[in-house]
Amino acid sequence: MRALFAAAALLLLTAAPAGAAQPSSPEELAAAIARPAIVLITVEWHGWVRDKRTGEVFGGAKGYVVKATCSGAVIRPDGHVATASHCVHTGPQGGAGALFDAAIEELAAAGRIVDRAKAKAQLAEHAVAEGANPDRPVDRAIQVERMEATGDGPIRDIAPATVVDLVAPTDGDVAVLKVPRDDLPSLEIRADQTPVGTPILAIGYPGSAGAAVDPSLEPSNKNGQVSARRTQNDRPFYEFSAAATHGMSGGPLVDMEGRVVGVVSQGSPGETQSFNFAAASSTLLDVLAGKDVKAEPGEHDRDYRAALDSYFADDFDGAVEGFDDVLAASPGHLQASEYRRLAVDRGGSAGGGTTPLIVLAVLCGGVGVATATAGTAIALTRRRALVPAGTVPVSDVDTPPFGFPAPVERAAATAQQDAPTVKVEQDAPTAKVEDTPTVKVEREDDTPPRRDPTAD
Amino acid sequence: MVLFVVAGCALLAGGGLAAAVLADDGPTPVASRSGQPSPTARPETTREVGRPLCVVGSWVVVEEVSNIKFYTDEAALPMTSAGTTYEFRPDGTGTARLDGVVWRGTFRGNELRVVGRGGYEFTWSATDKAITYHARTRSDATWTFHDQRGELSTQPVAANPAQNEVDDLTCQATTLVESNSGGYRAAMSRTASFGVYG
Repeated sequence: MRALFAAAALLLLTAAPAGAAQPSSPEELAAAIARPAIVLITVEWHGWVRDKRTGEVFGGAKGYVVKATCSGAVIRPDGHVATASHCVHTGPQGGAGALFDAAIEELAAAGRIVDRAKAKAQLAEHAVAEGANPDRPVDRAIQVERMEATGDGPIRDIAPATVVDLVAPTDGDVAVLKVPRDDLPSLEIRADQTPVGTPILAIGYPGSAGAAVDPSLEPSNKNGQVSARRTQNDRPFYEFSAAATHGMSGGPLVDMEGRVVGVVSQGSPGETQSFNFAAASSTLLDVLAGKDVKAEPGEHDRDYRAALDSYFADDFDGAVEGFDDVLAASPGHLQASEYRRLAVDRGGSAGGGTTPLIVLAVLCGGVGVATATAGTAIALTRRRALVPAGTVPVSDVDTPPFGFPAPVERAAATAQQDAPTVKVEQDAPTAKVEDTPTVKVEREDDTPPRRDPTAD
Repeated sequence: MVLFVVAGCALLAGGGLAAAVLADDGPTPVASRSGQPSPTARPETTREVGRPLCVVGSWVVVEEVSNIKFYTDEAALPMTSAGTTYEFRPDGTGTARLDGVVWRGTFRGNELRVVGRGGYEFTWSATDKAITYHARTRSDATWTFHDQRGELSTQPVAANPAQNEVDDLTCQATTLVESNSGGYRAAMSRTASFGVYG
């Protein structure tokens, strides 16, 4: 009984949460769902700018090297990443534009720029960004960076990326990249049209936040809502009210379920902040469909969502188990690792499912002790009940513990060395056996049979 | 007997379950994703360097000083002018226009004037410290000499394929200064007619 009480106490202790974990807002849950799939995209452009009218080449011997950062989201565990195409496009609104800007900077220092905006327009019209040889494409190196859990702590995993497909910045502004990684945390893409007024989060790395040097690579989550649906060149865009500064381009716009609603595209020139546009998720789905890529999150993403639900429902045991499942399938899942630790801190155990095992073990132990006790009691009762029969010489002393006539057995084992029939007299009055069939040991083999006299 | 067997089994089962519970120690720490493809360094590529960005463009002389041989039997006289325009093109060609340019000086109290007309083409190259005029490839330029007596003569500026004149050069944004050891010095200001964007 004492063991049972102890087990009950243990159960109470393990079941009691150390603290509630409900999300403070729907945005917190949405951010927690989306966070693992958010990536920092760094694009390095290298090239020269040539004015086609004069043949003048800007960039010197080594050319211009321009680095730009954008945001993105993993949309398939096999390494497909969604971002804005103006981040990776080689045209004037992408890499060429970045190289034009570099040339304008140098030309301005040489006193050859009057108005930068007009200058860029002129270069866009009359100049070309190119590689080391005329009319060769510029060099583009795309890196996708994300935090990953390892046995030695979080590391920044930097993967090279290629462009799977894109639609031009003026024609939808969506690109899909691919990195050579597997089992990545990914986001679900919302396929239906998102209603105006839907609360959203714009997630990404604002340039001013210095994500490139921030060791934790923590994105910003800007809340707002879908303000309007727009169309540009027959492509749907969402106007949204969340702040989205330079660097957040390509980051996802997610609803409160953490599903991708759109891809942050660009601000409206001349407008104040909180007036931004995102390419609709339908454009992203179109791009994927064009490459026969089906957008779907992984099993570990569903597990992660379920584990988060458990965590925020204060089911810390279930959360720990769920996050363990996530980590088994996606070992580098940093947020699963961190939320697991939080769940453990709040009382979850490594295997909330072990609680029933503990109960079962205690019960088995209890059953074992109880049945042994009961067996002993029955043995004693039956032995005493046999005494009046008078046919069996039985000792008039108490039965040794558990009813085993150990002295007799030892004597028999000794006696059988000399004779097939045993007559035993002992110093101790524990038992007296004389020529009775009760204990008859014959030397038939090396192991003498044993009989429990109480069992007759 | 049966009860003892049950008791033994129960104890064994309990012990096994307890061992299983104790053995569950959480997720195995993951290893770093070493061996995964990482970004590689970009191969170094270069291009031939063009002419200096600063020099390329159009310029107008705001002040020019030179020693000019006005009289054949007198030493060269220091004279000043302004207004010559230059266009240094990135392909190494250039144009100078002399229309309306007047060099002025004095000799024995009398004003001297040299009036330019027309222009010429040239080839050039430059570093950040020197400019070389390789050749005067074509010319319709003339200089007309005047003193207190009136117009004296008109001399053409001849083409010169082997010019190879090297002058010191300083170019900063909108100002270009050219000079040489013969007393020539010209300060120029950038104009927007060529090589300027926006």
